[in-house]
Amino acid sequence: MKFAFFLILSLVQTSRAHDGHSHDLKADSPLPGTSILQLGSVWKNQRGESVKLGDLRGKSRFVVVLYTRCDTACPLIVEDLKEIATELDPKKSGQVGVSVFSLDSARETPQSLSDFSVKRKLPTHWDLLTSSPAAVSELAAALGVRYKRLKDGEFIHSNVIFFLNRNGEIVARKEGLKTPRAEFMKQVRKNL
Amino acid sequence: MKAAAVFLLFVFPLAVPAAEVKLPKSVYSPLFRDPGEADSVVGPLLVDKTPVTNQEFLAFVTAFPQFSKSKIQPLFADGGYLAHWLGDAAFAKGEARFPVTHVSWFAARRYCESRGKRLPTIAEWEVASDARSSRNEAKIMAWYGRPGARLRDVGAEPANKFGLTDAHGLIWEWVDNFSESIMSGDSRGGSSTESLFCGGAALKAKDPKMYATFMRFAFRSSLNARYTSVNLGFRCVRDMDGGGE
Repeated sequence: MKFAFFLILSLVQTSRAHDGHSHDLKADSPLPGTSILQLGSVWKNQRGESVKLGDLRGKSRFVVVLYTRCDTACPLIVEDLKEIATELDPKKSGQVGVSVFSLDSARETPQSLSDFSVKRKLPTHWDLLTSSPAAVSELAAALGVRYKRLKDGEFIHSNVIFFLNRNGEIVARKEGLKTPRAEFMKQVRKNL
Repeated sequence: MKAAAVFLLFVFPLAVPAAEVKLPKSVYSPLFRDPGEADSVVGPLLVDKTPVTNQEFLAFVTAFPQFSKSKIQPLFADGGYLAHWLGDAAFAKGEARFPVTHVSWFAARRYCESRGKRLPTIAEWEVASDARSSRNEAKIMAWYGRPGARLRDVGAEPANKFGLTDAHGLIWEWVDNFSESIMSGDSRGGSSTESLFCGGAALKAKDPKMYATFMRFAFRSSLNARYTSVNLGFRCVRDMDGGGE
């Protein structure tokens, strides 16, 4: 299992050139002290590309944490997020990223992420990401997402949609499924 | 051949640094269970005999200044980080062997990493601290009833059955997976547990008499990774060779 992970990682390294997130406009200025991007962990997306958290700088974005094998709440949160994204001004929505982080280090692969993306008809510019257990637990801790892996491989986890500004600071969060979003959208628009 | 093996078994414990004790392979039976959650096996494991002290933590922040009181970023700790220290490299005289407190999960985790160790899991901590013994249960309840109890040197009390000290009655301790403690009943904003948590976390206490265990669980469920407090410290553990994941 560990070997397979290494193998994937080394394959990923070779495709780094295609990384589409390197618009480091202000890459030389230090990140704000509350920026999630300070974590610096490395993830792989559904195309098998390597994505450093720091690479996400420069674009405001929605962030959710889930696992793709989940067939209860996770599809709902993704539908919620799709609706939210289409509510934005189309001229601006192209400037907003979406990062879906998986909790399931043990089972998630670029393939399972890609399958989920196809099955849920997600826009192609959404990034679905997986990484090591340490990277997952630090990201979840930084976001305040609580989760627990159950024996059967399922997870209990917080359902929250976050909105991060260009520097990776959390500027808005929406907790729960199908909860009102007027206040959240107000904060999002303010930080586009 | 056999004699040599026996000899090695006797010699091996001497090779373990004095500051660690061995937790043999044990079964952890959670007080609160999610659907399908069973007992789990923990150990064998090397556990720090005492919580990490101010003196030990000073060596860490000297080596990793990004975790010093003045340099730590707010993502990694709240404003109370090392609040009892007098500066980046100083604490009150006489507190060198007090357990370090006012440390966040991020800092505790990085400290253990820097020692080639890690934070214990909930299961490991609960077993190693022998929390379920009735003697400890009574001790814990007495401590919980004395808010603001003063700190003291670590190791100043008899060790528990595994050789650990100070697990109860001195400080709370960070565990790596504190965020697995998910309490229901938080209905702020009208959202139900079902809505907040995929899978729904139904709490079913195995034994309602275990108040102390319940309180630890409730405390952990109130934590976030940046949080620091006057009576929250930590100790590290280390997987034994061949006993990893």
